[in-house]
Amino acid sequence: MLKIIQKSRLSKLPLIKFVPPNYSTKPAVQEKKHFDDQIREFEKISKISQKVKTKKPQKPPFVKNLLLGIFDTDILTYPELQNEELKNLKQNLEEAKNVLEQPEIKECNQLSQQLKKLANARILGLQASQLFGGRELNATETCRLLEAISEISSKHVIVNNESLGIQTLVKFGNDRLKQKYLQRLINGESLTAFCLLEPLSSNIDVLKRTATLSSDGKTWVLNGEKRMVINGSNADLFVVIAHTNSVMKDEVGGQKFTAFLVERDFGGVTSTRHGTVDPNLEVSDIIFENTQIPIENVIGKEEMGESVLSGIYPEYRLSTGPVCIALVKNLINKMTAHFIKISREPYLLHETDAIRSKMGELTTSLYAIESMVYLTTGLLDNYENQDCELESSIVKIFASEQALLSTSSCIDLIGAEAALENHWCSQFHKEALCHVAVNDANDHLKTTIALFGLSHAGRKMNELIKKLRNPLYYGTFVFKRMWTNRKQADDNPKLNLYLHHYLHPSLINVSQQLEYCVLRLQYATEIFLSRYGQDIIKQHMELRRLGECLMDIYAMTACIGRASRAYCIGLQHAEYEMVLATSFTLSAVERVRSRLLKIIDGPYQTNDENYRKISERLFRLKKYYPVHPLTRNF
Amino acid sequence: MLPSKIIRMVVASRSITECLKVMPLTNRNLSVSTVKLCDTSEESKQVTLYRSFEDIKDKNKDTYLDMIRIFLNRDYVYRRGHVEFIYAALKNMESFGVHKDLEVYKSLIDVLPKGKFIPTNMFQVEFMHYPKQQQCIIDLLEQMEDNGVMPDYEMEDLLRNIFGNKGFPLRKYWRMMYWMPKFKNASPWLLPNPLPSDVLELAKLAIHQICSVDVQTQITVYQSRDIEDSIDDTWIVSAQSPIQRSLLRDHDVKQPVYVEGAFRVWLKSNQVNYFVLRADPKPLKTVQEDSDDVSNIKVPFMFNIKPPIKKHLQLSTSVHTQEDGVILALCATGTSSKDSLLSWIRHLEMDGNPTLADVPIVFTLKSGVKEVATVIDNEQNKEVETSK
Amino acid sequence: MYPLRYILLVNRRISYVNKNLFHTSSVLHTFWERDDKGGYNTKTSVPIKERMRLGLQELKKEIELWKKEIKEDFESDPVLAFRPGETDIMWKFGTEESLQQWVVTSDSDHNEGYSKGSLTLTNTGKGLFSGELSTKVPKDGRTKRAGYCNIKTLRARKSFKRETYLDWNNYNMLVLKVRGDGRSYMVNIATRGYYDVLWNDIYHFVLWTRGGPYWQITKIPFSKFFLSSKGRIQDKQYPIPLNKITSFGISAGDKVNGPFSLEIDYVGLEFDPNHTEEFAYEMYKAPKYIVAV
Repeated sequence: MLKIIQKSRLSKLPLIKFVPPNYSTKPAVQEKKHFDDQIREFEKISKISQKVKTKKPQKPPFVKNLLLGIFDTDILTYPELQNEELKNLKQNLEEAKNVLEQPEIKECNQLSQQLKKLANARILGLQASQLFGGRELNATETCRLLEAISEISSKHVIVNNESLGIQTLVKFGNDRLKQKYLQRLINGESLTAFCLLEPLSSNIDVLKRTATLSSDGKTWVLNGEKRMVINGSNADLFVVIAHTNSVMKDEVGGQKFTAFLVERDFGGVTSTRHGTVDPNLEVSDIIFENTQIPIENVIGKEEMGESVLSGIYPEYRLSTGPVCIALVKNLINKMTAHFIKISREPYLLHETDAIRSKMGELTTSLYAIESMVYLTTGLLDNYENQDCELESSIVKIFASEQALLSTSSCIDLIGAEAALENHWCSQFHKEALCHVAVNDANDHLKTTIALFGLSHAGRKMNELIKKLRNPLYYGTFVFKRMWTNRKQADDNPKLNLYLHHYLHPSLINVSQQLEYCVLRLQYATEIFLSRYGQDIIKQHMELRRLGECLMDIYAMTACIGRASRAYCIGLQHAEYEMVLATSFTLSAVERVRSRLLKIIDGPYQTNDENYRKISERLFRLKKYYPVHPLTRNF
Repeated sequence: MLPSKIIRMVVASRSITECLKVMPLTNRNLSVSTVKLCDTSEESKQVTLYRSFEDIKDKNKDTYLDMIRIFLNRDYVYRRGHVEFIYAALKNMESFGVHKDLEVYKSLIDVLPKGKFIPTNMFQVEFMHYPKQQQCIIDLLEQMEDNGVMPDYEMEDLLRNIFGNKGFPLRKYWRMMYWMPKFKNASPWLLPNPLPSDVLELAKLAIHQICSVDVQTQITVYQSRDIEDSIDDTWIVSAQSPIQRSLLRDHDVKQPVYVEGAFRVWLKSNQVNYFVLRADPKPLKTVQEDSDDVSNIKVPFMFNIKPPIKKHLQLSTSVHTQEDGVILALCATGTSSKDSLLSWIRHLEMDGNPTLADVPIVFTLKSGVKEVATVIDNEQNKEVETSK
Repeated sequence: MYPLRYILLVNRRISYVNKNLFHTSSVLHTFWERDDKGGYNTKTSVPIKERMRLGLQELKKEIELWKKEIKEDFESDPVLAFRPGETDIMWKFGTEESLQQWVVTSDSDHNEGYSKGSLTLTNTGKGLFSGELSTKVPKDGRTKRAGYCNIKTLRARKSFKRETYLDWNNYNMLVLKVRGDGRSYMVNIATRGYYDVLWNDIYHFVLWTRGGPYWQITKIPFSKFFLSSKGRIQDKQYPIPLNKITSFGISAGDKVNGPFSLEIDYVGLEFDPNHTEEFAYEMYKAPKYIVAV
């Protein structure tokens, strides 16, 4: 009887667990025809399955603790999805792929139609509640689907819409907002855009966009300009971060921001479109002129824009991962096909070292990106409220950087053809460029991830640093420390983390290299903090180095964990995964070693001071100043 | 040149050639300095050399070179009195305006015969063969050095041909060629060589040099006649940077700002007068913070659109806030008069400093100079007797 | 600076042999220095009793100084680490007392010119070295060029007026905070030796000023200073011996007629580990008997 009821998909029963059969088994509603929408809705409701996910208690943040030398070995066990979940995911993926591979969606130019079709396939609003038609997926599943979504041409639109716009509502919107807007979004009727960047001003107060409360306190008036907004010209809903500080000249206190949800219909919104290098990506400048926003459209709380941003941005950064994965995967596939095709006897290109080495590098970096993305999503999913801001930022930088490097090296390999405008290689390259540049500058992000880590480490290491910075007051302590660190000073730390216990024994060398990196990182952090103290925030060159080291170490962890698991459980190509992990670690260790050595040795062995001097003169004279090499003095 | 050096022998009625027959040529003790110039001079036959340069009415490079040529042509073989001639020529270079001209120095050295003065044995080398000539050329090179004229390889060849490799002038030349180029471009605020003589250009260079402290300074040239009811019609070179603009914006409207001047800045040997718009010094907020405390490193909020800077750096002073005042703008005007300064203030106000309209401005002009004093060279002051 | 005498050669030696002839210029016959002030001795003879009285007045001060030195010898540890970025100030202007450490001279002191100079305090508590340079040459038959003004610190002395050296071995930069008027000044570090040929050893470098109302902090590395004696740059150059410094001075003498002013806040020393240059002036191999001859 249960079966009968379940089969009749027309039951209007609300979301409750099915209670054992004491009730009537007659179908309650007659069959209705020609009502596709309702059918869909019923489908939707009936398919609502309760997603019960027990998350384990929160762990201390992984990468941040690396700076303290604490390596959480649980991370080495690469996260897995439950069988059920995996099956569901596969199913979802199949459906999505079917929809996405239809040529009309892949190359569709009509955005609204595309949206509708995607909405039909329930591809929008992946993490939204099922009541609204979303899928309530967790991070892992979202990333997997995003990978699939990244195959279509309007991926930037969708991904941005998804991870920025819809996510903001899902996470921070109150029920009223959700009620009002989320449904429309998921149905594909409207599109969101996220407005954060402003035309660069010379002041430190970056956001000049102001929203002032009107006299009756019921509406906000928005004024200003936002630049580089993805989806700007097509969207009708904007999530805008605006400056709402009541005290104008308060530079000391910092600035307060609020997030607003602005409809294009509120009036006063004009957008100008700009094309970017990537033909699929369009950005716009949005100008707001006295746009009235009702007070209910404030996302989160007033002046809590910071928390909204810090909640949204990590996941947004994480979403760059899958997009880049798809990019690089396509690239590698195309490259291999290309070389196989053009290889003719006796020039079997695919057997030459030149090609092989580069392709090996590409494969290794893609392997690393993939491992990193799913490790991070695993952390997010398995642990309650896990602090992954650092990890997701690392994913963003690493993925986009590697994508750019891969495409550049592919252009090198292919040669002159790649310079043609429509060649697939140059198109990939342009796309990779946009990933690096738009919305988050990689360079500053590197210093930020270093600072994330250092602020965490600083809190824990405060006492230690105080003592180290005043050696004359804490003489014995300093001497003891010098004794314990004697091996570190020699660049030969004692490897006491024993990571190889948690990995397959064949990875023992690799794990020792990882241990070395982690222990050196801890030593370098100590030295770095004790050298500069509070001034550390100004040492951008060193921070950048530290950030790059963190990236490499995290990538190594991910690769090694994944390879060990693959080998142990016997996945296909597992031996090759071991080789991939080893190769990545080998190249990463070199980089980490030299960078950490630079940090430890201090500012006098590196080029830091020289660059400062050179640039100071450059800015003073406002141009390239060395005289021409052919100049004579007499 | 030292007058005591040249002992004149006035030959009353003998002809010059007879005179020269009697006197030995290389007489170090009593030097002959009577040389008759051109035969065309109608005046007395006793024309002494050191006056002849001063007598020329039209003093420029061509006439100077002509004088040298005349000297050479008169007595090409023996060139009697060439040392005195060179000394006289050196003394008069400035009045002809050729003291910074390399070609002129080279032609002066050219007066000396080649090959004759080169020592042929060790003793001649040791005892400074032809010391008077060598000393003369050393003085010439010293005058070159004083005027900042850099010699070149041609001069080296000349000196080598005249005095040989072991001569002292050549050694002095080598020393000059080692030291002079090292300091020629060494100034951190290098000025173009030659400096423009136009006063406006000089003022622009001067203001540019003064304001090179702040890289973002914008220098604009206003015309005072753009403001109605201005009496003067002159140019105003004004400099202000965005930091100064924001300092002026934040300035308390009740506190006055002062226009102070005229201060002097030197560009090589030219003076430029400039004026400063200054406000009273701000009391420094000393933020006591423990640089050892690393427990609250703040990650900069703005999600890395700009690289992180220390928070209290924003509070701290820029280069424009100094102990004796806050410098808000700088200018140099054509006529350093109060009226031109008024036009300057009005220009500043129009150009992005609306607060200037409300703030009381006090003019404390220290010296009411009527015109920009560009004292170019020393000659005018030489005649004036300065009291000790 | 020293009198710009009519020296035949660039260096200390002359090779003029005919001493008995009537010379038309002032000449140096030897490189032996007769007295340590180079001929500018303006010592007035003080009677012995007066000298004893003055000496006894000084005695008390000197004993105090001597006691302090002994204490310092026992108590203080030598400074081992010099942190980069920290300037150790040697001479700071701010009080009347600071002006007592400097001596102002100009060419008009001995009737060799018409320039005037003075060292005063400004009303904001900084030292002001100002005056007027005049390149007018006095007509006394000896002087060829004129126009300089100079301030110099007194010779480093220990208690009981013993002459000593300043030891700057641990630093490698000279730091001056000045506010000039666009003119260039000469920074002189005297390393007066024991023997008479070394009495006039001074190391020079140029202090270019920006002019304007902004203070400038100039850091001159010691490797840039070049050796000269009595105003003539020497052929054989050596890096400055930092443990034999006797005094420090600043001169104005850039051959331009007109007033000059240099406000000085402090003169200090710094150690900059990024500056690795030892000496800036390269020495070439020259044929024999040419250099320093």
